[in-house]
Amino acid sequence: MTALLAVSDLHVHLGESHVLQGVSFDVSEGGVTALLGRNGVGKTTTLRALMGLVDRHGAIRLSGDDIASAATHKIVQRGVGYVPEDRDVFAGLTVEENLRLAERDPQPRYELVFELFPELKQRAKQLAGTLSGGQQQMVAIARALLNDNRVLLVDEPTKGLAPLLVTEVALVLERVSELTTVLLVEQNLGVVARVARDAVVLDTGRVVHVGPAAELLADRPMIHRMLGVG
Amino acid sequence: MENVPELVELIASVHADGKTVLMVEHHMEVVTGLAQRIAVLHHGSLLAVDTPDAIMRNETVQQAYLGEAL
Repeated sequence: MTALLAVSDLHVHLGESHVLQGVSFDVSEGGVTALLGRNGVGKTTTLRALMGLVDRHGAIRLSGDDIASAATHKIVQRGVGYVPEDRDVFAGLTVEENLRLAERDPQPRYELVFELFPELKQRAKQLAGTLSGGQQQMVAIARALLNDNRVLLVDEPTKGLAPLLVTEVALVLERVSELTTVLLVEQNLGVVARVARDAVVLDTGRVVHVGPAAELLADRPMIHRMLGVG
Repeated sequence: MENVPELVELIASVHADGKTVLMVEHHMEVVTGLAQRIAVLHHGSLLAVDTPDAIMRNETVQQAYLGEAL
């Protein structure tokens, strides 16, 4: 299968910490690749490095093109969407304004966004800061879906959400994965089992496992050893 | 997720020391494992207050909050 995103020997230093210590993995085109690991192993830093939001060294190729030294806005223009952990919506702007700010394509996909999140249409004039955590997560995902991205980097989209919303987000991710490639950081293994085709496991800044998600999740001793759960 | 059992143990020990704990949490395994009473809020209204077993069986709570398991 073609690697849409190829990460090779990626290093990130944050202050005194050598957070990513030569991370290498491929994200195949289509479907969801889950990036897993215990707290603090470098999952979020990996996504931030791919987006150019932290200083990084190594090779990052998107469809063969090197983006390792590209600025964040150039990476976005190349079709990499990002749904950050903790959503980062503009609290003082309305839902509509948050979405408008994210428009990049000449024809933003509002039909798709409102099909997946009809509630956002009803709340278009509401300030994003007054939304619940789940509704803010919808805005964050919707912003990335407005544009026809080649790959979406999604960081813990179900964190802190009610059980009903966790299921809703999982169903949205499942649908999104039919439209684009997704690299997903997720702690909820039920969500991973539902949506992910491949899994990459990080431990202390290095990749320690790559393989089909279903095989990893079926191996409880390995889950316990690598993720500390089960 | 790997820190959840430690936190559950810590909260349980606080309760065992005679303290009352009011906890806001979505992780239902944690909630049902720790709480004797659960209150469910929905759009600013109290939907139900009951024991963990009764809350998990409550159809209104299932529809509004719990949803279907993945």
